[in-house]
Amino acid sequence: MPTITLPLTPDGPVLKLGVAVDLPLSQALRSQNRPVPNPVAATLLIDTGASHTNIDSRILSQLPLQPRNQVEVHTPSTNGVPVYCNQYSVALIGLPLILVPAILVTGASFQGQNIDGLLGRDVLGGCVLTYNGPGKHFILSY
Amino acid sequence: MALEKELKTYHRNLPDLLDRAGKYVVIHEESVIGVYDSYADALQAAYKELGADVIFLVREIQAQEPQAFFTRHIRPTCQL
Repeated sequence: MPTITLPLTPDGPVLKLGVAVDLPLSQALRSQNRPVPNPVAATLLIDTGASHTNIDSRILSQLPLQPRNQVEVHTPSTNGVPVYCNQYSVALIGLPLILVPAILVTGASFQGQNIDGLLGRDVLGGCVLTYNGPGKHFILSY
Repeated sequence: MALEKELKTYHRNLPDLLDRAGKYVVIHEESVIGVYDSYADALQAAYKELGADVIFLVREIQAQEPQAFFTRHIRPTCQL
């Protein structure tokens, strides 16, 4: 498993990643000699309180994404009544290797939060995460 | 709303799909394109069959509706 060690920031354990069209789509576009959109840079907070990965819609809207699924979303403010949100298929890249070649994510607004999204347990389920508070760093193996 | 036809097709076919729970189904309008072992396999098949620009549904087959939970205060943007 590739392993990265990064410092804890004032915003917590964050990763700077590229958000791109999913790998199967980029392969399909290449096979048709069509251009593949460049990844969009994003800062994601590792959040074990997020069941799914969620990315700012300002990031997602820069990619030619179609909705691929719909999910019931619960947040502290939905008070048990879910809102139905589209999910979009993306790849998360930019570490030494591709982190996730294809994953469904929802969109949200993170304006004023100094991050562009949450890396949730759907991704962390395939990783080993060590949070070293006293050492002021975290280690992610994936 | 996007995926409206596909979601209706999914729910109509769900009783027959449930014996393959945990696999991924691809649906375009009223047609079930196929059932695949992984999400990546489903996408590859869908892009090959339908093309890169077509709206289609890819969903893990399960009895319950998929749910996402966030403990952080976020404002979901449900459509781009």
